[in-house]
Amino acid sequence: MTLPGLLPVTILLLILNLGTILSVGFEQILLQRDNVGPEAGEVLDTYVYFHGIIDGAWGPSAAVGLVKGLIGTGLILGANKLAHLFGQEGVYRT
Amino acid sequence: MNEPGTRLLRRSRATGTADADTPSGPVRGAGPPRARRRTVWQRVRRDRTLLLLTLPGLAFFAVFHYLPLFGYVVAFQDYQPFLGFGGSPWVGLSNFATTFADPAFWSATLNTVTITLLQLVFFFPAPILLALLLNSMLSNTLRRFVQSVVYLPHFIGWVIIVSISQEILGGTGPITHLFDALGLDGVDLTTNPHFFPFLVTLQVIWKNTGWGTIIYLAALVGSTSSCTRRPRSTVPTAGAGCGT
Repeated sequence: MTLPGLLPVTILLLILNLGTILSVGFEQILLQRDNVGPEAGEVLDTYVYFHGIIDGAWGPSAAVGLVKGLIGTGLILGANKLAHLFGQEGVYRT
Repeated sequence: MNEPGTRLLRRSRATGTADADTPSGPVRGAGPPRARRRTVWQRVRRDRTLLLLTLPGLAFFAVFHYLPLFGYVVAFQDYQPFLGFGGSPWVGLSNFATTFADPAFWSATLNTVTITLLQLVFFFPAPILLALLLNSMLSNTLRRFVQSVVYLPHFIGWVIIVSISQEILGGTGPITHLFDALGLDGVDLTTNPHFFPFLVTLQVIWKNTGWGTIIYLAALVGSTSSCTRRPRSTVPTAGAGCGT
């Protein structure tokens, strides 16, 4: 029955994890991408690597990174506000 | 009237850090503008050692976290590495249009969202459950030993973890042989596109569940110590719900 005691930490980590929700492990995926093919094995980080670094499409890849960052920021701000609405401490208060 | 004010100010300066920040001391007696100006300089002068100590940390975040943000100008340029940020032509939002028109981008986004949702559902609660299990162990020696052991996979590189997982789940591993014996020939979980998100999630769970327990165990230690204090104050029944 210690779950209620863990609730604030859980919410804190959940909100922080939402910031990197579109970054699933790069190295891990890159190692196994060829086993299943790009249709199933491509994630945003490997897409950026192959299109940006390998093919030299710097601009579009940076755009992907920016979109990732903006979505992560929006999710953190929204989740933090939501946590306040539910009476939780969240990550920070302004 | 001036006398108690200056005495308060002097006392707050003498007692140190926290008192001078609160406005109640100096503001009441001495004139507000004079007291405020002195307080700011006082605080900088008084905390100069601490401020100096924050400089390496601030420099770290500035150099490695804030400065790279300016690299995002590349998203609005037709970036040529030999021309640099300054020389590359600006193209507005056309990079975004190119990206959003690429079907491979949407395929990658779909895969990313699938994997991240699986990780949110299956990986995120795993350290909480493991921390609760560890926290309820009666033997302290055994608990510390198990704690140390479950931290270890975090320090193993992905290359090794992927190799191990291919040895176990791959076409020559025991899982494939088990399916063969059951009459299902040619099951290879490492090359199955439908199983791929689950495979990735399994590997992440194996690698990082133990590491993730650290912060929850710290919180559990904090919450149990606050539980032992709580019954004395407001809620007498809270102690029963606090467990061990």
